Amino acid sequence: MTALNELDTRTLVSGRPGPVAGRRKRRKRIAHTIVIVLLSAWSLFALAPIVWILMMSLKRPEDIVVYPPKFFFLPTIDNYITVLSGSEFMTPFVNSLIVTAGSLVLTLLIGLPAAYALARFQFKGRESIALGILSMRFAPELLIILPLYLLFQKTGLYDSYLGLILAYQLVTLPMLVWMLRSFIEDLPVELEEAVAVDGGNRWTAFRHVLFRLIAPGLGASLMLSFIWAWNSYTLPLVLAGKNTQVITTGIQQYISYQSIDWGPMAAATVVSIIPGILFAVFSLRWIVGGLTAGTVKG
Amino acid sequence: MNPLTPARWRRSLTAAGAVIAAVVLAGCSPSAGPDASSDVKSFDWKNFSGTEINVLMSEHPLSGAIKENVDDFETKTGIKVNIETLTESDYMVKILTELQSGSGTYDAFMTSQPMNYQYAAAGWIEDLQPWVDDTKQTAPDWDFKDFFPALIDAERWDTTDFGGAGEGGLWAIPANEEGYALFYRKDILEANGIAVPHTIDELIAAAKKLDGTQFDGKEIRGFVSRGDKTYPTLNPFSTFAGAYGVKDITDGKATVNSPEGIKAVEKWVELMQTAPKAASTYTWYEAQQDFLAGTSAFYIDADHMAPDFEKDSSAIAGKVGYALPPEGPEGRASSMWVWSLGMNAASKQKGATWQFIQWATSKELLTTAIGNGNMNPTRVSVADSPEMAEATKDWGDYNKVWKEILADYASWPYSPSATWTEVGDIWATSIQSAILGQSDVKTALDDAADKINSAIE
Repeated sequence: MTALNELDTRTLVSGRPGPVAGRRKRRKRIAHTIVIVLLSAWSLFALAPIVWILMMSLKRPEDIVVYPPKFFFLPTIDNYITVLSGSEFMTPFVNSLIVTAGSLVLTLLIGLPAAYALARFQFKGRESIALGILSMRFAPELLIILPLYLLFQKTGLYDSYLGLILAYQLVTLPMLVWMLRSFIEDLPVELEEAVAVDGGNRWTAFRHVLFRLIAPGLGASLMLSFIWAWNSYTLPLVLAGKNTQVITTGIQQYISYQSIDWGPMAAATVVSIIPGILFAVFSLRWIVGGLTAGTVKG
Repeated sequence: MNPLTPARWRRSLTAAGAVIAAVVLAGCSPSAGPDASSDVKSFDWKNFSGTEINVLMSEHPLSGAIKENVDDFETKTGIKVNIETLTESDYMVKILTELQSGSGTYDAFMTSQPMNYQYAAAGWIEDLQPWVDDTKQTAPDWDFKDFFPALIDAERWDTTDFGGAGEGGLWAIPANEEGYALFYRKDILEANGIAVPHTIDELIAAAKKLDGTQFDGKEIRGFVSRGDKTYPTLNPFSTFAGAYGVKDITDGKATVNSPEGIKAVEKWVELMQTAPKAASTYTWYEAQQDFLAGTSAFYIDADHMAPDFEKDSSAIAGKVGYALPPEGPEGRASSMWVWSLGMNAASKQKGATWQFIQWATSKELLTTAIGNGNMNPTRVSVADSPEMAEATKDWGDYNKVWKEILADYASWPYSPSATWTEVGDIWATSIQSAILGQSDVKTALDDAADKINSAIE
């Protein structure tokens, strides 16, 4: 965003800046600096716990519990070796990858056409359907978990990847549909009409024009879906069994009856953050890359 | 990760589930006792060969021991056992969901007295007395009489709300016991010439005297214990409540604010003033860490924390003394927590499940489990075994003290009810506010009594 602002000001203020423009520019720069400072402070505040966990994951047990806390210590990678060498952490980690990826694929297959239809077609009960999808997010998970558990027990979906992927739709689908719907609604219909004028059908318009335009929205909503699915706790706690345990419950194995293995738990936490970060980095490129300014004259 | 505490989780789960459970469970009442379909001629470990059962347990030395040795059971009986363990709070949520659904997926599970009350009131858990009495189902050498009587009493309840403890159905078989002891630092007491306190007043005087002194280059606090506003905090406090003869509820009315109730809390608050300021938010875990850090002289909590104090990496190994809970006007007292094994009333493999529970609470397994740190054993024979003496030989008086607490002082001192945990939370909250000085003891307890009365109506 900031790059764009810079661009705007530079093109707006053409030639030599007059005194007024100069003052405006200076005021703008001050405001800009304040914003940067505030955002940096907020980032520090938000990242501090994660930095702390990262430090903890590199400490020896005696350095972790020492009071006052140590900020300088001899780092060790023992905790990571413990975590990555056993199936204790790796199995839930892989399970989480499978289930989250599966959920996103399914959400995309169902959600993208659904969002398009809700945005572009006129049909009876459109709003009811849209609200119906959204209401999956209203219902507290605890309310739906029991009937789901019963259904899963009866149908054999309990403790299976497919079952979890289906259950995760409750988390991922409503968000994606609503985000994309509003995104598509914001795009001018003229673009698709232009394709029709050139003899293309709806599918061509969708594939060649619309899909590219909604890419940033798609990226953003997939990113959020990924994080929510990855962090989902109640659903897998009740619906996953010992074969499909996921990371959110798996990480807690380091809390045993009378002691907590802080080191391995911190290392496991750090490792489990990585997929989310990678996913975010890739979708961000997509989001920024998909910015299309000035396709239509206002 | 989730904004709800386990207790609130359980409550909201209960609320959410109650409606559905009512619908689901309507019209299917679990059969009582051994059913005729699995009728067997006489007891034989092979009676249920070829069946399969599922077991849900919390992470615990007991479940560790069962997991390690379950192969023996499978070869002995031909029953296949699938075991799933989760951390305590996760397992609480999961077992509640499972029982409410009535699906009978998990045949056996770990449980404890307050949980039994909830499950038994709802009819989710099998009464095991008929099974114990059935010679065709119970191994002749299982020896039911070998369990500590106090523990068997704690597992009984006739499902009357706020009454009938120790009578009626037997809801689970005890497999692990903890009582509440006074831990003290031998070296600190010795350096200051203080005798081990026997009474509550002596303890308070000693803690005050030691509070703020220097030892080993550290500033020492007199005392530490749990102070969090949830019902488990009442376990250490139960030693004071019992010593003053406090009852939570008498004849359906809250009596936490009785004269002795106020006295007990006043003493407890006085003692907690010598604890670190943060102790008012401690659960057992933080309190234990605090004592392990070596900065507190006295600590009242679960006696079976001893293995953690005495392990090689501990800074206080060999320096801890174990004593009975301090005495008050009504003598000594201790609460207890009993991890047990219960049977799902909706189980479809009750015969095989009963065999599993027998095996998991047998003398052999409980003896083996000592090696996993399953303190304390629930059978008299295992408690007195040479294995137990060997495992605890470097822990001072531990082996003597825990047995004395269990044999003479420990009981479940609270009124049995499905809603007891809520009552316990209210009581613990009022104690916390008195410790923090937010209100005086009497006001806090009067307020708690009103809240408890409206909660149980």
